[in-house]
Amino acid sequence: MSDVLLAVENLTVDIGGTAVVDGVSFAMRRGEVLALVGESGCGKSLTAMALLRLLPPAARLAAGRVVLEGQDLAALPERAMRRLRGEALSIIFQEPTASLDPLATVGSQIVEAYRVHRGVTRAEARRAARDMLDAVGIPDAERRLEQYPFELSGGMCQRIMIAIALVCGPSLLVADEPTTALDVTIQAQILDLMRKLVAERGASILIITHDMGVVADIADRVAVMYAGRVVEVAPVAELFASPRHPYTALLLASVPRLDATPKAQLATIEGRVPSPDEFGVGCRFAGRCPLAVQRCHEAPPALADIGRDHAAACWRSADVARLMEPAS
Amino acid sequence: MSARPDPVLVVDDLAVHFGARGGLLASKAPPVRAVDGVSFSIAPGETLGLVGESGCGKSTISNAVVGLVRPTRGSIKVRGAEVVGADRSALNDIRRNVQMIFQDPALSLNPRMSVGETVGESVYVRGLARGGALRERVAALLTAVGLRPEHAERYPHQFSGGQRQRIVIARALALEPALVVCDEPVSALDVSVRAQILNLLVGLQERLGIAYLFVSHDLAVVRHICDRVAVMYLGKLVEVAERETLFTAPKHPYTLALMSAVPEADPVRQRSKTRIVLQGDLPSPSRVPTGCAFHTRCPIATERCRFDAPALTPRPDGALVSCHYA
Ligand SMILES: Nc1ncnc2c1ncn2[C@@H]1O[C@H](COP(=O)(O)OP(=O)(O)OP(=O)(O)O)[C@@H](O)[C@H]1O
Ligand SMILES: Nc1ncnc2c1ncn2[C@@H]1O[C@H](COP(=O)(O)OP(=O)(O)O)[C@@H](O)[C@H]1O
Ligand code: SF4
Ligand code: SF4
Ligand SMILES: [Mg+2]
Ligand SMILES: [Mg+2]
Repeated sequence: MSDVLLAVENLTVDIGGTAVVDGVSFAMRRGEVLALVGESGCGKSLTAMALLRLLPPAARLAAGRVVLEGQDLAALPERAMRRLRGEALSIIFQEPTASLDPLATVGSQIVEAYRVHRGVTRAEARRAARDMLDAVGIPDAERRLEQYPFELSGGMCQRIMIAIALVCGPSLLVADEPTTALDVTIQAQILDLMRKLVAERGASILIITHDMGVVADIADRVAVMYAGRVVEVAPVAELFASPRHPYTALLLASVPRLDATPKAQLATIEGRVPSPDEFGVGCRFAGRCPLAVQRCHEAPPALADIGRDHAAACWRSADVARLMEPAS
Repeated sequence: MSARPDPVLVVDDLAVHFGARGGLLASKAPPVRAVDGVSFSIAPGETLGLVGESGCGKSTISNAVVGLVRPTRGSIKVRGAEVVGADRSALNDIRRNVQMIFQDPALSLNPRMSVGETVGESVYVRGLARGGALRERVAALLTAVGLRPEHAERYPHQFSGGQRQRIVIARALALEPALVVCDEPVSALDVSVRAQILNLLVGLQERLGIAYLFVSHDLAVVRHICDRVAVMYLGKLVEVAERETLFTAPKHPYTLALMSAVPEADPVRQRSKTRIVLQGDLPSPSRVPTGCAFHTRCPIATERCRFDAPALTPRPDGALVSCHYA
C-alpha cells in the first residue's frame, strides 16, 4: 500500500464566475499532520469544504480530483460520500457550539454518530461514547453524556466535537481552525489530544490555521495559501528556517517572537489581499511583493520543486533569503 | 529603584461585581466577581500589559478605567482625578486624558459618520478647533496613523479592518491623552496587519509619550510591546513584573502554565520546551473557589491553598506574586 493517504489535484472552486480556489494541489501521507495556513479569505476553508464535498450553495467545484485511499471523492455518489464522512473522513469546525445540536444530549450525539456507521446496539455505542470522552480528556464521562451543549464550556464542546469526529476511527481528520475560539490553556489541551490521536491511532490531520504558533507546534508539513493558490509547501522546520516564497517569509517575520528585541519594528506586508476580481494575470502577490519584477505581473509562477519535499510558486524564490535578514 | 514620576493611572483595590444588588433575580444568583481587589499603577509613557484567560476580568478593568463600568468599590485616579463616582462633567474632563481602543474596529465606528467627523468629533464638541483649524488637526491625526488627509471624506465601510483600526487610533489620539486603554487592539486583525498596528502604537508612544494599558491574550504580542505585565486570574492579579523579569523568571504557577501553553512561532523552540498542561476549565467567576482561586487547577496546590488565600507580595527581583509556594 502506498503511503499517500490523500492526493488533492488541481482543486478549483468557483464562486460567481471567479476561481476563489484556483488549482490547489497537495498530498498527505499516512500519520501526517499537514497545516494549511494563510490570512483570512485566502481560500483555506473552501479548500477543506471542497474536499469533503460540503461547499456552500454559492460555490461550485469547477475542476479537480480528491483521491482518498485510491478513491476519487469528486466522482463518488452522494450516498457513498455521506457514509465516508464521519467514518474514514471527519471534520471539526471552528465554532464548536454552532456545530453541535443544542437540543440533543452530548451522549446521544456521539452514540448516533457511531451507530449510523457501525450498526451496533445502543449499549455498545454508549460504551464507545464513554470511552471516547475518556480519550478526549473529559472527566466524569457518565454524567457528561447526559448533558446538553449549553451546560458545557467552549473547550469542552470542542472536545465533544473531536470525540464525535473520532468515534469511528477516521483515517483523516480535517480540522478548520479548531482552537481559534479557545483560550491558550484549552488550546494546549486540544493540540495535545490531536497529537495523541496521530501517535496512538495513526490518523492523519489536515489542520487549517492562521496561527504560526499552532503550525510550529503540531504540523509535520505546511502548505501556505495566498489568494486561492498554494504558494509554498515544505516540512515545518525548513519552512520556518528557510522560506522560499516572499509571502511566507514576510508572514513569519511579521509575528512578534519571544526571542526578539521588544518594540523593534516588525516586518509588514503593504496593501491587502486582492479580491477575486483584482487577481490579474500574473503572480497574485505581485502588488505587495518587495521582490516583484516585470515578469511577475505578466505570468503566474507555477508551484515548482525547489528542493527535496519543498516547492514554491515564485519567479525569484532563490532571492527570498534576503528578505529574512533582520530589518534595520 | 529609581524614583518614578507621578503615575498617569493609579488603580486601588478595584472591585467590580455584576448582579450584586437590586433586580428581581438578586437574591438567587450569586454575584459575578469580575474584578475583585485589583491595584496597580502606570507611569507616563509606560505600557502595562494585562493578560489572562477569557472572562478573567481584563475588559472589565479597562471599561472601569475609562468610566464605562461602575465599580463596586475602590478608586481609579487618572492624573490624580478620581474616575469612580465622577459626575458627567468631571468624567468629561478626565476623558481628555484617557481614551480607549477596542478589539473590533468595525463595531466601534459609527457607519454614518465620515472619517473626518469621527476623528474630529471630540475636538469639535469641546470647541477646541473649528473650520480650517479642525480640518488641519484631523489631517495631522490621519497622517500620524498612516492614513491620508483625503480619507477624511470617506466612510468606515470603504476601509479594510486594519485601516479602520487606524481610524479608531486617530480618534483616540485627538485630545492628546496621557493614557490609552487598548483592549485586544490587534486580536481581530490578520497577522500582517497586526504588525502594522503594533509598529504604529510603538511609534506613537515614542513620539508622544503616551502610556498604554494593553489587554491581550497573546503573550508574544505582550512581550513585544509592554514594559511591565500583570497576569490576572479570576478577577485578581496573581503576578506583576517587569517584562524581562516576567519572561525570564516567571513565578506564579498560573503564569508558568500560561507561558507554557502559548505556542511559539518557532518549531525548534516550541518542540523542545517543557509543557505544563492545565487540567480542567476556568471556574465561573460567580463561584470563585475558596482560598487561592487557582487551587482547583494548580499542579502544586496543597491542603492549605484550599482555605488560605495568598496575598500579592514583593519578591527580591521586584516581582509581585500571590502564591504561598512560589
Ligand atoms: N455587564 C456584565 N454583566 C454581567 N456579567 C458581566 C458583565 N460584563 C462582564 N461580565 C462577566 O465578568 C467576567 C469578566 O468579564 P470580562 O469581559 O472582563 O473578561 P475578559 O478578561 O475581558 O475576557 P475576554 O478575554 O474573553 O475578553 C466574565 O465572567 C463576564 O461574563
Ligand atoms: N458562501 C460564500 N459565498 C460567497 N463567497 C464566499 C463564501 N465562502 C467564502 N467565500 C469567499 O471565498 C474566499 C475564500 O474564503 P474562505 O475559504 O472562507 O477563506 P479562509 O478560510 O482562508 O479565510 C473569500 O474571498 C470569501 O469571501
Ligand atoms: S513571483 Fe514575483 S511577485 Fe510573485 S512572489 Fe515571486 S517575486 Fe514576488
Ligand atoms: S497558593 Fe497554592 S494553589 Fe495558589 S498558586 Fe500557589 S501553590 Fe497554587
Ligand atoms: Mg476559514
Ligand atoms: Mg475582553
